[in-house]
Amino acid sequence: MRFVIALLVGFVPGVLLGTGFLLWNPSFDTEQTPRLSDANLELPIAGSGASVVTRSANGYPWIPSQPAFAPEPEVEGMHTAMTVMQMRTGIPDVAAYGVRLQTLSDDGRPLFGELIEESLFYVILPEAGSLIVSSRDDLWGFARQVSLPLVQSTRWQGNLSYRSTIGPSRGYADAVGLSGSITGVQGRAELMQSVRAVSLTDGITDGDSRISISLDLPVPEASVASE
Amino acid sequence: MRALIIIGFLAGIGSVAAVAYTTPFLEQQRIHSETRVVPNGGRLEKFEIRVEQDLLSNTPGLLSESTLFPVSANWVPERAPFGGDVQVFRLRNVNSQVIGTGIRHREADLIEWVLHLPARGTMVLQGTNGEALESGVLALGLREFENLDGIWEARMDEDGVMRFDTVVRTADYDEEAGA
Repeated sequence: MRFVIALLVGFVPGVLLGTGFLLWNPSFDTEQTPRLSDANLELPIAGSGASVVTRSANGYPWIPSQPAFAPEPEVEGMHTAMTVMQMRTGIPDVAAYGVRLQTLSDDGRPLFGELIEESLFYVILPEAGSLIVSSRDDLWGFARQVSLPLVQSTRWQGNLSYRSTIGPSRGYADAVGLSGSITGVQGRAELMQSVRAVSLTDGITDGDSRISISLDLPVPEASVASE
Repeated sequence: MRALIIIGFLAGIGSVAAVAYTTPFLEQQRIHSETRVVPNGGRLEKFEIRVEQDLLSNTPGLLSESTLFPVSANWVPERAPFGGDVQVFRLRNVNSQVIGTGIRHREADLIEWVLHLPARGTMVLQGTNGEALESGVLALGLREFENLDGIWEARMDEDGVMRFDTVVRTADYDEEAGA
């Protein structure tokens, strides 16, 4: 009996310390500054510049449905959230349209500080055509700094800004032009998120998200000739 | 006694690490894909959309005569960069299980479908829009559908179900040689 008690006396602090280390580990912090320096397209997808047309949460705790009774994707066993939005893009300054589909992935492991989400953005740009952005994001920073405190309180307020994109291409999302003048044009993208207030019932109530895209647009012939 | 406490302590840390390594945050369910090999190479897969029941969103542009859905959606057609319309549907396999989402963008007689299957990947289908038949080619594939060529057609049946036939094969497939 004494041996079991001695083992437990060591085991419980070991579990607590291990759990604490996982939650605190600063090496799991997400990046806070953007990496793309040559973005030629910027799309606000939440907050200022973005207007939600309709949104279905489908099991996502921090995404409120809009309107409240909006039909949900109901993909079997795969929680998928859908957002249809109109955007006022930053670069260039035009109105655009987008559909975002988000699915939590089971690839991530808590040991490595990973809460992985796969996102697909379908975007229509005036006169340019349509494009698709495929992104893999790590939401661990959000889960640790925002979701955990919500266990104790119904509201979270603060200032969390982070770069969530981790893939699928070496830390960047993939962007491909589908139609119009950008057909076949490839590029890379990243998602920057900023959260200021979250409510347990209404999800993120104050925050911004934007995708910066660097498309490898063909160099105009005139500028090639002048080189 | 001190050695036992240390062993217990290390076992506690090891247990947390083992659980954190082996346990994902959530378990996603995978559904078997209903595909069939077709003669002369390629893989046929059928999808279905129950047009009325599976509609998630319809956003009509300025030139479209379709109706906004959901009716209370916050939609400003003047800010839409298209004249046609964009619809989002649930996407089903031949067993009527919802396996993904389909986005349809119609512009006059041109059509673009994005079939997104979260467990597998994405197909972008482009083509023309007929009376009851849409058809065209696989313009882009992501993840499982990457580097594939393909053709597709979708017909609207009388029971209100849109049925897709997609045939995909590797992009370097030599049709004459058969491999």
